[in-house]
Amino acid sequence: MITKSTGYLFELRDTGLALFDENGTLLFSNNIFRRYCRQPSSLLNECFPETVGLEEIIRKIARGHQKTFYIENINRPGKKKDAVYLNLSLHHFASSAAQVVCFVWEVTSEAILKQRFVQKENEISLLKTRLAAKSSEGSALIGHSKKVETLRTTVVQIAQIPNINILLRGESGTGKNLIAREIHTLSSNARKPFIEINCAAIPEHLLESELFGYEKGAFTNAAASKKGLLEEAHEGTLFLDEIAELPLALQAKLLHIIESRRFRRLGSNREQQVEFRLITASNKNLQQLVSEKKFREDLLFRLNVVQIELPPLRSLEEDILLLAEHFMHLFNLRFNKKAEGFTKDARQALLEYSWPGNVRELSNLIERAMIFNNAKYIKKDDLVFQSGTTSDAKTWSVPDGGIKLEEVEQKLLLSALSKTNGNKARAAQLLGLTRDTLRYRLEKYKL
Amino acid sequence: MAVIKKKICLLGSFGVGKTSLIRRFVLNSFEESYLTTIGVNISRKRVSDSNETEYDFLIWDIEGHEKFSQAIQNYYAGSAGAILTADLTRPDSLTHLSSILTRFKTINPEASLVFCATKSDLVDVSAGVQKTYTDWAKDNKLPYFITSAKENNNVEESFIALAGLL
Repeated sequence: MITKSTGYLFELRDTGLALFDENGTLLFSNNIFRRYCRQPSSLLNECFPETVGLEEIIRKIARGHQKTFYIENINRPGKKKDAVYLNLSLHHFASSAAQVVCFVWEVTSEAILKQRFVQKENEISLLKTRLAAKSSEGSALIGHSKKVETLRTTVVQIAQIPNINILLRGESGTGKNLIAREIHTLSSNARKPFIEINCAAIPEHLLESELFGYEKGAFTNAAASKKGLLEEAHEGTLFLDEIAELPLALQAKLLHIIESRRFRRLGSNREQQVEFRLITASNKNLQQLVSEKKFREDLLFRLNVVQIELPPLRSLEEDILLLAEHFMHLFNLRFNKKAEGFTKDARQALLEYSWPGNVRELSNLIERAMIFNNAKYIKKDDLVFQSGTTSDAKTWSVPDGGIKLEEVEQKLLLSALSKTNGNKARAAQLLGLTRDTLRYRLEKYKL
Repeated sequence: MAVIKKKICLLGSFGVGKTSLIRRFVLNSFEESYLTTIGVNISRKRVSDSNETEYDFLIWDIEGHEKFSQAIQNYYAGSAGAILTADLTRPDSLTHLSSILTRFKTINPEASLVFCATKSDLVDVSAGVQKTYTDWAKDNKLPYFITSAKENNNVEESFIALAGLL
């Protein structure tokens, strides 16, 4: 039996109390319950519209088929625009009739504390995402040229295929690591680890233990067991950059893992199962390395299930300007600058340069241009190109005293070889020649 | 003709713009600032479908929880429909949405659903990345809208589409 005095007792505990029949019709309520009602009414779903849709549950509770039901942190507009937070609970009321007792109490202080905490947590997450989106991540997919459109479509399609081996090919600085990360981000494993290893950056003797991990005592300095990067990448993505630098012995082990999806830590007899998407990248001609016996053909076959060719920046035409603007916005944020664009001359220079260092070089160039510059527009003079000049033939002219064309050609050949550390294939690419033509000219000048 | 009351949930990860969609639909306004929703905030709006059936939508703006607690199950209970939301600038919000959808369906297997990709004003709508969202909608056989609460793009259409499915 609920009486006025019962209602009053609950008021002393700042709790609203009401009794309803199984159809949600009000039988009794105290003052606090009425104060919290959205509108004065004799129906539960009018007093608390949060109970609309719960008719079946209310009936079950009234008949004792379900004991209780609650709704936490119901927001209500309070005085002075601040929200009031309420908890509501429904319980079976043991009586001869099918009835439901409803309690309502305020939890504003706790909810506001939670709100402040979660707000900060979420803001940090959102800022991280925004910063990542505005940073160089994703810059490999900026643009409207056909090459970028094709690349974008390929990346999206491949990301949907689970655990497929992908080989990224492209000149240094074209953003192979960005594409690898983009594939991971767009895949269903995006929340799983993305493990990146530069095979050229880790000394050969450490690479094996880094990759496979080790058991305590496996070698002299193994004081404790350690997970390898293969294990860390489980269910996510393993990205092996500069795969051409992987020693032959490790190439054999990697092949075994790709085929069996099993590996052993150093010093362990126990095989472990791993699942990951393998993305590899190289700016070298792996097929040539195979013919030189420096890379295993069977491994190349396994890695090369899908090959993505990243276009060099110089081939992206007007997209160069879009990328330059992307980096300008990024460095505006990073350096607190307010640059709005590039002058006509600067835009022309960006389009005419040959970009041997690709997107990485462009990013560095814009960064350098903006560090000490507060002007609204970035001028041509602000752009310090690596080669000291925009290498476009249109800006060149013959000196007044004349010039020997063969000397210029020899200098260009030597410069291209020096830029590519003697890599003739890359040097030929920089000069727009075939390898045979380059070889012919080197022989001609006895270089 | 009697007005039919229906409980509708807005579902999705935190910060995808659920509150903004509701504010645009109910109050025709937009605020740039982000205020995390705690618990549940209910708004009401009358909607007519193409058959001129009039609904009183009780729209539940539910906090973007990652965990499937009893409290969240109770928020979902009794929903006639839901608008699923994912942020076009955050592909991770689509991954979360898959698990949210599975959970919601365990509580309301018969509920009608519509999928909204949000914040189209912040992305290049022609970009290929949106294929992921389209494919997700296709895979889950859901009506799909690219929306912007800021630019009032496809917001009302999404709610009306949902009304048509009820």
